[in-house]
Amino acid sequence: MAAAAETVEKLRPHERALLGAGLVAGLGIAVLPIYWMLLTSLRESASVMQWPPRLLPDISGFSLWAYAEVITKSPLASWFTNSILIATIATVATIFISATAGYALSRTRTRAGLTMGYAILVSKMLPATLLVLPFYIMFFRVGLLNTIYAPILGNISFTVPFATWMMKSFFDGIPRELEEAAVMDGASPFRAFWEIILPLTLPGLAAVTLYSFILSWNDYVFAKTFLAGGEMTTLAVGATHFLTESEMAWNKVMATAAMASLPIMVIFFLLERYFVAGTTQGVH
Amino acid sequence: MSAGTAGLAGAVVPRRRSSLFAAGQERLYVMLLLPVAVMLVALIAWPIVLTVELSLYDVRLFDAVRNRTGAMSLDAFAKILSSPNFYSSLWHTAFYVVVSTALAFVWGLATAVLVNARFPARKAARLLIVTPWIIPSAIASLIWMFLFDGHVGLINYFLMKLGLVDAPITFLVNYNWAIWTVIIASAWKSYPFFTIMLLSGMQSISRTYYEAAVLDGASRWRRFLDITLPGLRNIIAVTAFLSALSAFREVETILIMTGGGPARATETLSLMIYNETFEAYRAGQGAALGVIAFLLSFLLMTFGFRRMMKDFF
Amino acid sequence: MAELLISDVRKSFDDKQILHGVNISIGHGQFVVIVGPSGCGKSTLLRMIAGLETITSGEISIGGRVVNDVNPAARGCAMVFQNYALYPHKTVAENIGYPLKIARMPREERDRKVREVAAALDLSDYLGRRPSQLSGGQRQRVAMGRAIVREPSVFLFDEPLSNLDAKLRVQMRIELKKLHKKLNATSILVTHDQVEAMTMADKLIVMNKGHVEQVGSPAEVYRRPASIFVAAFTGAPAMNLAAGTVGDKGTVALDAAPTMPFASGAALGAGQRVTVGVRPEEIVLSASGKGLPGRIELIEELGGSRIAYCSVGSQEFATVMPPALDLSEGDEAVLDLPARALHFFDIESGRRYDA
Repeated sequence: MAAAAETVEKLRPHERALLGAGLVAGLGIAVLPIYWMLLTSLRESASVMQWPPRLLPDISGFSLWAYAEVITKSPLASWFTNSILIATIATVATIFISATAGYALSRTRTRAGLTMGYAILVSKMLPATLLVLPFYIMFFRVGLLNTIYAPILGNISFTVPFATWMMKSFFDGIPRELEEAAVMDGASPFRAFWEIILPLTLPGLAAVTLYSFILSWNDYVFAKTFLAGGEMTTLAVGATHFLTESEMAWNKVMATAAMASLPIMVIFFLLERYFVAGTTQGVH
Repeated sequence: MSAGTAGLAGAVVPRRRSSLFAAGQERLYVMLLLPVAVMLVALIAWPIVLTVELSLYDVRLFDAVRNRTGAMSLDAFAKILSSPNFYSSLWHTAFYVVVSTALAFVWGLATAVLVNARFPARKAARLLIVTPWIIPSAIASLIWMFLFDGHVGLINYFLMKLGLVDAPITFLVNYNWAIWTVIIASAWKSYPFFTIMLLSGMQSISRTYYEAAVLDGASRWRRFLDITLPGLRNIIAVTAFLSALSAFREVETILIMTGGGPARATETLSLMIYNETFEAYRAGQGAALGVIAFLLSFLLMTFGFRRMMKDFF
Repeated sequence: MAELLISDVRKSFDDKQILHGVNISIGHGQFVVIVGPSGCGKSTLLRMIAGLETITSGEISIGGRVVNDVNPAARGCAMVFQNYALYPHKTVAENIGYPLKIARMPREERDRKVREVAAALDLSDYLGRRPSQLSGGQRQRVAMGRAIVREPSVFLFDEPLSNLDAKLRVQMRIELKKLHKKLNATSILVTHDQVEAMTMADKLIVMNKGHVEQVGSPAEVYRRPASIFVAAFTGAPAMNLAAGTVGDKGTVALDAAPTMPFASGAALGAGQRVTVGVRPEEIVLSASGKGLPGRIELIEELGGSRIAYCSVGSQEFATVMPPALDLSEGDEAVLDLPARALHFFDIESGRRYDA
């Protein structure tokens, strides 16, 4: 149970059994749906609709038909490009806004600064879906509707508040003496921030990058509402296009779903430690 | 001197121009806060104002975007408050938020305890257990739709295998079952957040407490009840609060899986806003619902607010 | 002319005043130590000299120039921070050379100066390392190097030794003094450790609750503490303090031992209430003879000497035991408080009465 207890006390047999059973259940619930997604995406339509379903992979029945179908007969490339552009631009903007604001919030002692901190905190808790309607109207009026900038702005409104608090807690961990020393050494306040403090928050920047990229990549509502569909949409929305009144092409859905989630999963597995550190820091 | 630096100087200092460290720093902070201030005004404050304004006109979406609004009235509010759909959506919201958060909490706590134990390949297990967290919720919803499918769904297969049901249930279009499908899908997506937060909380509890308890002869279960849980109290509160808030505003899962149906059985407040606006094109009523949801979430926030403040500052 | 002049400097944060009119004058080349308990305002004062804190009112001038509104970097001060504040992502050479880089000194000249300073501080072998790869003493020296390389007119040290272990601290104390002798630059060091303060200072400034309690050489401060606070803060163990009443003809009676008035040189009015102070090493402890009758409660062995804690009535006195004295805990003893060794303080204000 607790890490400390294990060092003094070995698990008893029934506790080991309990731990094993728990792990099987825990991993099963976490992984089974993802496994089923991958398996389905690798099957032909007939075997997808088969009853009873076959739980184990059937090597001979493996087929990349669904992937080929999705890649050649749907605007997948366009969806992919849109997803990447939206997530990247939103992430760059989020990094810029949250790093500057996070530093100022971490260091300022003025009332105006603290008020801004509260405002960001409150907006972090706003139901962002409330903003879909006014965004729609605003974007329509300025002609941004059906451009990738609409979901980008939507995603920014969503990522920046949390990212700012994440960055603030990273900056909080850097002693003020460092910029004081830099200023004594002759640096301007901005130079002290840029040359001394910012390079020390690389783990924080990594966490914010991951957080906002994943969140923007995973967005569905903004892309669905602000983009026209067809070619002009993202992977997450595109995946639903294969569910129509006439056909439930689950293998095509799952092939698209796999292509939408695998890049994110790879990034996550590689950089998980930054992501977790960022999330727990931003909330503490 | 900018308004921002006035607070620091307080009442004692004669305000004068200076190139001093503190003043120079505060000027920098004001500059660095500009981008976020622009974002807050343009993408948070202004949309809220717009929503409130729109709620005062019972207008269709096509007219709203072209600024053809007609006369100001409280008609949109009146229509909503007299609609039984509104009240049932409140009930669905409460049920959905409470049950899915509770499920996510219980499973998150259980998995956190599991992966905090020592066993081979623990790091890999930790990673896999929190994987649902980063699956796009649209994708997670599609997967669960397929799992709950009434014809070839895996869940029906298991239930029949176990002899719990005789024939497949069409969960997604069943008036009583549909809400459970979205609750389970959303709990699956959100439990890793609890796992991660609670795990980090458990790891920050000092070992000395456990060592003292072991010396006192406390059992594993007692140690969990008397040390772990109290030590996690703040984190549980904050995490549950954030998680409930995100369930409150959640639309993607329900929009994809059931669209609020069958017969509005899964229509939560957030989804009703979306449907009113973008399915029924009643922008005025959608905005009025938005204002109501805003007030509700504000209430919810003031509940948890003091605790959040304590944790952040 | 004074190198550094602090006149009537005050500081408040919000409504809380933490410096109440400080006046200090520091001559060129002096090594000044500001000492006091935590929260006395000493670090704030140092940071105000550095330019890291605004001056609420009053004036600070360095080399004859008022610097209230001058940039920290332009004041000619260099500062060594308590946690050293080395830039973790820069190498030792980059850390030392950073002020020169900002001053846009040409690279070659910069490298030469960095090497010079590093050689003087025994850091030549570590120029390529990062601070995390250095020991505490080495980090301390890098921080010094970064200060020296700018050739400032005033060095500021904010508790520079408190993060070192006891042995290293003594060693660094000596190195710091040697360095000061070599550079002959005005130095101001802030510490809460009175031993450090005594051993290093040319001029000692004792602060308490935002006031300067006393300014003087370490010997002066020790021998003639200006207040009860200074008396109790200096020396280890600290000066013994006891309440008493002045009697006729230059005598005083301690409350704790009213039976035995003793002579004193101070000119005080009869019947006046005072606090009497006496340093432990001035008390003559003996098995019998003249003095206050007491009992040895506890003996502290220090190796070279022994401290005996004796009770006289309800009053406790710390005394230094003569090496030859063969008494142990629980024994009766006599404490002689020589008249010339007594200090008298106002019982209300704590200020010293001069003889």
